[in-house]
Amino acid sequence: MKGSRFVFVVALVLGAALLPLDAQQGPPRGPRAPRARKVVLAWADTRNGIAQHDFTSHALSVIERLGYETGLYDTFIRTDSNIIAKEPKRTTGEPASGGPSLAMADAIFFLGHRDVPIDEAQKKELLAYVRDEGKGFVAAHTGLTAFESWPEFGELLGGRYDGHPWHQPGTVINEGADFPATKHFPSTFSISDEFYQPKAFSPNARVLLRLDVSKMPPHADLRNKDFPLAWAMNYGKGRVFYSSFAHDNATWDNRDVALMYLEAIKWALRLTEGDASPRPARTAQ
Amino acid sequence: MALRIACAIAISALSLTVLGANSQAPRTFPKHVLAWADVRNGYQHESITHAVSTIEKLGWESGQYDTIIRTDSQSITKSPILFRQGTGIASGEQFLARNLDYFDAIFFFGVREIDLDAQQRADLLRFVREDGKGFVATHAGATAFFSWPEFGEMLGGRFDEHPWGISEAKVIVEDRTSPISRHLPASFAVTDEHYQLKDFSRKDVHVLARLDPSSVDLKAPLVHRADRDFAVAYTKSYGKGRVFYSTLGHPRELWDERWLQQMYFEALKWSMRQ
Repeated sequence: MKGSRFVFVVALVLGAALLPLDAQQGPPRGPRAPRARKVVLAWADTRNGIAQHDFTSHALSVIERLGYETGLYDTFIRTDSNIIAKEPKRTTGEPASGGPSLAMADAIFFLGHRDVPIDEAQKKELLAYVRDEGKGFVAAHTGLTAFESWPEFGELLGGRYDGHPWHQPGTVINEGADFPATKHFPSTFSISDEFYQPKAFSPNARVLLRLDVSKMPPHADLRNKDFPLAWAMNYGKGRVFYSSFAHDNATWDNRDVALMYLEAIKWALRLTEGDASPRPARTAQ
Repeated sequence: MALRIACAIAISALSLTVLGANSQAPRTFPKHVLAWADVRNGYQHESITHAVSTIEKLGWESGQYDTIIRTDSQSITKSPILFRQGTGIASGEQFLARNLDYFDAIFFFGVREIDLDAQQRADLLRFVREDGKGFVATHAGATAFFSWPEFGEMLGGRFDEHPWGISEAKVIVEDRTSPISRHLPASFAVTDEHYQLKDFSRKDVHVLARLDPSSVDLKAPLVHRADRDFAVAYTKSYGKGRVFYSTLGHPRELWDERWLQQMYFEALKWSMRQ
């Protein structure tokens, strides 16, 4: 009971702290008005990865509730990839009968894992969706491992997965005190997670959070003292955000982590502004 | 709404200390639910994502079960799920992907002709009939697998149009002792896309609630049931397993209603013998 009460409290406080009062009343009953809210595809195709990281569904559910309760966006959760197209197909190859697609979504929240099965035409559409159409792409944790065999995806995301040297508490340096998704974090803070190490890190990305590796125990797989944990980037006309948080399912109830993703999605949807231009690392105080 | 604000105010002092922690231990759960909503071959109702998210939340907050949400059907197998060599895992390592054997119940919100091969179909039936697991289905779940008679036998009913569109109708609760429906009043009005079921027999299912036929237009063109028996929620057994179905759940906001949440939550618990 203690656990469920705790989660209840967190859920309520998220609601109470983040939302204007009128947004808590939920949508009106009756015939549906034309869609006023933005649309987010929460896309978590894990069929070629660890099919079910324990956090994945809880993360998808949290992202859906953040949009629903704030009234800012509607979410379509999909763990297949048929919707990654302007004109999605059924499993038979025939045209799908409406529903979500790249043609109607304003941003993607991505939690895929490893080599997500989409074809060449879908890959082109996905890049164009962000780069040319200026749509948003927000990815979390395992998203960094996706599409190892597709170089352009690394350019879109701003980095590649290079292992996770630590799964333990660490100190995080906040370099994004002025950025909407990270301004609520203190200038340094402690969090326990499986910290993903990026490689092929894009010179176009602005680091928002990084792990203070000087405070971590030595590890043979550590490649670089600059260890970004969250970044923002412009990719063509589109806005991209990635964070390594969070491997542990309960960490998605952490108010600061949930708020980071809500604000990242708002930024990717162009509901807020934030400067994603790269800059030198801030030294820890 | 008022209750929610009152709660938020009442606990806000407590919450500040709770939220001071930036890390929580990973949570584990005694039961596992597969929220399976393969919608690729039909229309994705607006409510489906909110429904599976709500089912996840109910398990998470109660601590009774965790939920894996899937809109693909890879998990519908009792065989090991293996990855092709070179599918992005450099080490070639095979991770343990969870198949039906991991789950205690399925919450089903799939639509129309879902792409399952013959072995997957056999495994799904075995999951319920021989393994004694739970199968809880909602609304458009009754539109699934029309070409597969055994699925209809397991579910206990098939979609036969929604003759009244989205409309208000009166629901009569027949069983006010079942844990699934005892929290409901004897009758109540609800706005939904009310379904008419076919291939449905009271010999096979235990009806918990039905539509009051006097509250709907029996002369609507698509009304087919001469017996005016429009089941809204029922339980049944299928071999060793327990099956629940309810027509209710088309409007997205209906999933925010405490009584509806409790109905599906209690149905899942019942199906998992909790």
